[in-house]
Amino acid sequence: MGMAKYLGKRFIQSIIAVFGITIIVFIVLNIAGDPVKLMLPDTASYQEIEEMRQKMGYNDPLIVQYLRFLGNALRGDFGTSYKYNEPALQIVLERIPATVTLAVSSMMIALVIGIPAGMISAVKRNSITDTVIRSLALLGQCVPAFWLGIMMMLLFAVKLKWLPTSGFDTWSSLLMPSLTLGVFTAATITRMLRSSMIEILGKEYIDVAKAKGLGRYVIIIKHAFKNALSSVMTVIGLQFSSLLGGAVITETVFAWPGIGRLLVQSIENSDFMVVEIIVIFMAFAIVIINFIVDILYCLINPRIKLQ
Amino acid sequence: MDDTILKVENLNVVFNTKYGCAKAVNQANFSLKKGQKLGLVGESGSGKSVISKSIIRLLASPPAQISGKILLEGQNLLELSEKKMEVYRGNKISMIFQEPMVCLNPLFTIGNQMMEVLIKHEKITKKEAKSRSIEMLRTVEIPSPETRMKQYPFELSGGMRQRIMIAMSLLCHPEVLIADEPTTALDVTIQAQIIDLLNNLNRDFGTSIIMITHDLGVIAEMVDTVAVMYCGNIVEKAPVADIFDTPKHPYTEGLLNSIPSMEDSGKDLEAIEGSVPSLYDLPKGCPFRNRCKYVRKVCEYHIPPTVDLGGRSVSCFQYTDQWEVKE
Repeated sequence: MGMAKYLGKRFIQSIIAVFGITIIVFIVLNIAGDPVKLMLPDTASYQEIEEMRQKMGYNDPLIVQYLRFLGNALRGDFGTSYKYNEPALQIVLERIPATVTLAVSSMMIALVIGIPAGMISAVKRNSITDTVIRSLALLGQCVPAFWLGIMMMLLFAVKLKWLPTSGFDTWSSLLMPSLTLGVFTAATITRMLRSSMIEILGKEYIDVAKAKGLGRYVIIIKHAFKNALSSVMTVIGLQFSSLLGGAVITETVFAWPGIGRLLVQSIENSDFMVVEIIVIFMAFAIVIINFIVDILYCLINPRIKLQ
Repeated sequence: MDDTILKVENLNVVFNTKYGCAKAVNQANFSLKKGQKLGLVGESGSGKSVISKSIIRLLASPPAQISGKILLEGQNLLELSEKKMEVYRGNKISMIFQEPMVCLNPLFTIGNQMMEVLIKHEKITKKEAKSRSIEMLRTVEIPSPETRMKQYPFELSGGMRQRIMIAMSLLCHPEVLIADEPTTALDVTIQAQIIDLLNNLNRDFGTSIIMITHDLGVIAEMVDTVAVMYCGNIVEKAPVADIFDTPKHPYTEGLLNSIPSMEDSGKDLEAIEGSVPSLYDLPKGCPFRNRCKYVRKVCEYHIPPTVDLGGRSVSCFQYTDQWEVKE
């Protein structure tokens, strides 16, 4: 049972990583100073500030504060947002569905475009098709999201009136933000998959597969793509976790109610509790996605499964 | 009707690259009878692998430009569409490669990779494909074949993988098996086992074998007929005993002289003077003339013709009338 052991090890590592992240987040926020001054009016006296500090526990030793923070966090209590005066967790949770929807749909677009494009590009290497795909991929990686978003909005919303400029209710409002984000990810996947496929197609076992008389598609999809995928999967995972972390610019352009925009607003407002939760959520997302990538990697590669 | 299975006629392979035009194979002619074992010998870059890959059509074209005829049971393989060629590969003609460690796909089991050959070429159920694969693994003397079917390549040694490659290539009982230096990457004891195995399979199935190698020891132990290649040319072709007893071409002679022998121990090893010219820059006339100890004026201007010496042939002016002309 090599796989269970391997995944068990990775799982424990993930938990340690999550703990480490909470410590770092906690320390960084502490270095940034306590929010007591923000909570009190400018006219508050030193006496009043000190009293407030004492009351909120900011005078306790750091380790005590951290354990209290951790204990509360485990119970789902992340404190109150200073800006909205509501439980911070609730504010973030309200925004998460929008971000997840956007991340998933952009990823779908990226995979649907990126995988075939990368494969075709590699199989027809140095052809005109390949050149076109490579140029588009380069362009897709270079075009800034704010420009692409605004241009699409001008064309599809303002000129053609096919799609709404913003909103969050219908699939049509999801389309443009997903495309804006998906194009970049698709370009990244295309380029990675192309180089990975080219490497695999040069391997001896591909010649062997040809010598066996197997058809072109069996060779490309079964023998080459599955091998190429294992190296591209890491990149897909990284891209997806960064999408889950929210896309500040795209969310701003399309007034998308996700956590990216919330994060920037909360930093501006020094709304520490909200920032804290979002950072922890992002970290969680990365750790979980990495763990899922590990599982998939195990499923694809028998070497890990068995050793 | 004669029992010729494979006939290669005037095969030329040219690579057009940015460095220039390389003639990798020049007017190659040979034929293979049913059950015959032909050895293609030559040093690296002499074109032996190019010939083998042209026969099974694995050379990417372009850059390779192939002309001539490769007739398998009368059918010119070079004229077939890619789709039709698939029917021949792995079925009527198959190939084993030099590096067994990298010839199997790491992500699939041995069983999966064997069964796909049968499923592609024959109307057969999965169950039948499985039992025939197991049977073939047993034929190539792999212990506990049922277990091997479920294993992945990384769990097996190089010798074992080469046996599996051989089993895989013989699944559909091909007419011709091309073995491209199948023992080069293996250690000597395993080499001997693989050669024995190929000899046995040739005897039992009647499969014709084209053995490509630079190892004259392998040639001596295995083949019936030898074709010696130099810079893309087949310079001599003869039954194996004749090659070793009475080499006709100066290059063959040089090759045989450079084999170390027990009697000569203590003496310096003989070598052929000079080195192989680049294919991009072959000398005019005979490609071997720069290294040949018998070289004459005529060798510099003309490519030597292939002379039939009755049961064997050689490409050298020594055996033509032109040699008589005194300089």
